[in-house]
Amino acid sequence: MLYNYNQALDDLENALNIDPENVLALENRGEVYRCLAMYHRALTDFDKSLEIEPESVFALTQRGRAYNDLSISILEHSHANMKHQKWSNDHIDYIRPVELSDIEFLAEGGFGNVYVARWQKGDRNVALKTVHTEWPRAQTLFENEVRLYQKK
Amino acid sequence: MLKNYKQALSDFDEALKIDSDNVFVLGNRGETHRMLNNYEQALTDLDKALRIDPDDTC
Repeated sequence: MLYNYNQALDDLENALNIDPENVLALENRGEVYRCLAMYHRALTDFDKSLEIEPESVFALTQRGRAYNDLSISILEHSHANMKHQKWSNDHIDYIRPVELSDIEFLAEGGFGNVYVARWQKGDRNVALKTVHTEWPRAQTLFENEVRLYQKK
Repeated sequence: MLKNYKQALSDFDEALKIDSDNVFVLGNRGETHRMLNNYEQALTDLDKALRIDPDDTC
């Protein structure tokens, strides 16, 4: 399924290279990004298509859903992290998601999203990284990355 | 997080201004109100959606 989405993205990208303001292509790419959980890219496309065609019920609805999904995905990631308490071994500090507040989006990458969040208990800001959980090796890679930072 | 839900609501409001009987949008706005614990408004939207399409199981 992921493969089909990527093909769709290729086609839509080609279409938008020819006609960057094509509302149909922008709306569709936004929706593909939303389905791929790349919500910030989805929002960018819907924002642009709505600038050109402000009364599109489809774009308004799907942008609304992207905003909702964004909230839900942050909640789900927090829950997922709760289950990985084994991270507290190994001298890795374990911060419970409920200790975080003021979560702000920083960047979207291939592995997931990066946020900055306030950690009240530690009296400092921390980076909050989310990983696409369907990718089995993601957690191992993430733990390795944390260990590398610890050595510095 | 709250901010995202509010932006979602404003998009659904706008969509419903244009197409007030759109069951899909009503369902989505109802769900967003439910997330925000606005249960009265959630019920209003979901009741309306079900009046228009009684077989909608979402």
